[in-house]
Amino acid sequence: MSLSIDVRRRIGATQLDVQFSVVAGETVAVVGPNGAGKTSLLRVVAGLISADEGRITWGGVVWDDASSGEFSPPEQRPLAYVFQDYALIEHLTVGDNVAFGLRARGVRRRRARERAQEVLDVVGGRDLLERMPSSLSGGEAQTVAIARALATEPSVMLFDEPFAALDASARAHARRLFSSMSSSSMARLIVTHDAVEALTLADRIVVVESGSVVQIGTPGEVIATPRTHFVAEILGLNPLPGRLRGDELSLGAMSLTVGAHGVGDGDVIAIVRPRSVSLHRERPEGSPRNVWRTTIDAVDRSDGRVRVQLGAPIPIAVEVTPAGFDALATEPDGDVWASVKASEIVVQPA
Amino acid sequence: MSRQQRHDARVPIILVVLGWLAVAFFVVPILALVLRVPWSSLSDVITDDATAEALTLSVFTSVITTVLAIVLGVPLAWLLARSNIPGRQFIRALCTLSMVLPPVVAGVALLASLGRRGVVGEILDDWLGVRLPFTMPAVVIAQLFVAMPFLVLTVESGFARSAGTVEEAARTLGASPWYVFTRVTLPATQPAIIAGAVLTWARALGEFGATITFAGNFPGTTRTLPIATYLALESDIDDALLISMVMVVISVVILVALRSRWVGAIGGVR
Amino acid sequence: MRPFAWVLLTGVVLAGCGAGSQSDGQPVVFAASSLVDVLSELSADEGTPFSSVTLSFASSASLAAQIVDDAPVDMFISADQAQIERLRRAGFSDTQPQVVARNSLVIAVEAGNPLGLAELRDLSRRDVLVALAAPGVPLGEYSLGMLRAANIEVTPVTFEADARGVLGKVALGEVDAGIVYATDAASATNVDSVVIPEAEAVNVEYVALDLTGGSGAGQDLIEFLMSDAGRSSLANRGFLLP
Repeated sequence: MSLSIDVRRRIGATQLDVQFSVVAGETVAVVGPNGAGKTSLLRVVAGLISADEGRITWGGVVWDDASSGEFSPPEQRPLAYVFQDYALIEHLTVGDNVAFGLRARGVRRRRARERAQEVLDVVGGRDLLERMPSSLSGGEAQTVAIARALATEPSVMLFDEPFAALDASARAHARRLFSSMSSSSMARLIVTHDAVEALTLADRIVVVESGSVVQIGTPGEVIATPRTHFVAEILGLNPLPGRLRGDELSLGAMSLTVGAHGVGDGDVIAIVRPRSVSLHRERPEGSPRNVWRTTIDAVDRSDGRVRVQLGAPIPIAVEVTPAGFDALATEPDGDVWASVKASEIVVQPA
Repeated sequence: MSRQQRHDARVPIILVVLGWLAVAFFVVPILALVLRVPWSSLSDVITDDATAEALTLSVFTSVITTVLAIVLGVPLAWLLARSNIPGRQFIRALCTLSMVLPPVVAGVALLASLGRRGVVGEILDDWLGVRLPFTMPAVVIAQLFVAMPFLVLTVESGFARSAGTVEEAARTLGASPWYVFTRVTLPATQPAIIAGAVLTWARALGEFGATITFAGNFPGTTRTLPIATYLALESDIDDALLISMVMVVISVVILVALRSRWVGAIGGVR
Repeated sequence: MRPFAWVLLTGVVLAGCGAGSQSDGQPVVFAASSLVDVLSELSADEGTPFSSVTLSFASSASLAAQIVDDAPVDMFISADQAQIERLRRAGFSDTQPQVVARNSLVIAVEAGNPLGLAELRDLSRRDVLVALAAPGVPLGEYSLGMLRAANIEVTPVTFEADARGVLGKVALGEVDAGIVYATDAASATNVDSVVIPEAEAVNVEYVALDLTGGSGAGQDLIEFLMSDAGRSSLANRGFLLP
């Protein structure tokens, strides 16, 4: 069974035009900046709005067919949607919220209640049963929203920016929950602006820019060969525009040597992954040919990693371990030496 | 005032002054009325059959009006707030026009449409033998015409405010539009509906001009308390004052019983 | 913000103080609603003492209430004997009240008298919808008194607050007949009058009271009404003369 999506829809100034599919058991993440039409895509798949042109089917069953006019409203589609703001029903308890989908489909009150408790157990929210939505923290609310969606045993689950509103610890918990609830019969579609989220959760990634798909692939594929500057930037991959001559890449202020590649001379985009760059206190001995002295513009310690933004001559983001960074014993704004192996620089035609 | 009270919430002085001025504006006339009332004759008036009859009629009709206003007004409010009907602004203006019209004019409009020679009234009379003026239903119709807009406006604003992802989420969970309306939208809008109902009831209870014009005045059938008060003014001011007091007491009792929890919701404040 | 607040406050207070002052010093006359047409006509006529008079029309009861509240009024004209007596006993007038005009009751019917109503007894027909003034207002008392005296039982569909209400219902066709003053029926359009003999037994008298709270102009105004000029104006409007 697969969810086949072929949608063209105008939303405000954006023309959404995407085609891809999600197989049962698979998790696909749609990545793009805010305003790219990602949420609207989810709304079209859910049936809250319709496609101007195109077709959406699940397992061969037509949900939306613009040319024939067939349209199945959300309540008839075997899906569940976890909204960005969780959309819990304020006047119902958590238990009644989770049971809502079942009750709406005619399940008797006691049976619905039992099932709600079961689902809450699974997601680890048992003690929330009698609480009211307004008293929940962000993480708790999301847990309830997910439980509510799972309770109806949907074939397709849609998530809008699932972890955006959570703090670090809630995010970690949510990620674990998300990974644990994957099932071979359910297709999951996530929409997010956070590339790391997408890379860690999804089996495949769909990158959307200005309403159109620019790349589809597994996380590994997309990181290894980001097809456009935009994709690289979205993934935080340090895209550097430059000029290639042979194996010398000129970046304006300085040059780097690049490894084997099949790209002809001319304008290129070089990808330097944050983890490929090493930082040293003094000029390193040995082999790396690409060494330069630079300054530290900013340091971001979060989620157990340290992200360092370097300044001139090559402003890139570098990722190191906390231990590694501490060993540098530098001050912010202090000087540091950076190096990167030629083989770690990926070049693509611009 | 404790130190806490004095310093924790600093209110601009101009608001305090104007606010109290407004309080005085409302309270002083009521107090003056209370002082003027010849309380010694109270027992004569309230045990008077005519007054009791008018009171019963007023309460009975105003409650029916409120129920009908909810039955008709909530769907209308929903249409205005949520549907895509073209010309919504115009429809809203028409439906709330009766709120702005002088009540007697509203009464004349009702006669012109539902009276014996009215556009619809004539048909009702000729074909069904139904005559509305001078009947108790006419009292309800007059009250409904002038009071329902209060409920429509209040509830419309409630529906507009409650629209959002929660209702969409309900649909994605498998709820039909009607299930969403009854289980999600209505409960969320309940404060607005109650507030609107209170306003409607109050307006219906005090309604005079449209009632006397369309329904007339006949003891037991169409003589409501406001009409009785007005007529008492013509003959015996003291009686009028005492009957007014009955209305004031009833209104105060009801409003206090409902407490600020409902009346405060009129402005959207919970 | 603060200085502005004080200015606003001061303005409000001063406005409140200024509101109590009286207007131009013209004589003031309070009159029952039936007299609105004839007195307004006199007031528009430069040659009468009413031309410089401020007129106020309302129900006798509310006018009397304002007088009791010390409104500065020179003369009060009304057909409501009870109110007149009340004012006299309370000392608001120390001269004899004088009858300046009389009125009679008629049956008002829709223009053309479609039902062909000819006498008072017709009002008790089952198929005739009747509007009467409410008991407690002068017209109502007179109407009900007349019916009682003639031993005719009429159940109206509505008791209106005043002659205007009765006439309105008749003119709109909502009722078939009503009992009003002859002067009111005469000045209303879309309405015909049916004269009835039983009305002769009903004595509707308009009494003028010269009030002590006024400027003393009351007596002059009363004398004008009793003069030939005043009487002819009253007669033109359908009033009977004392």
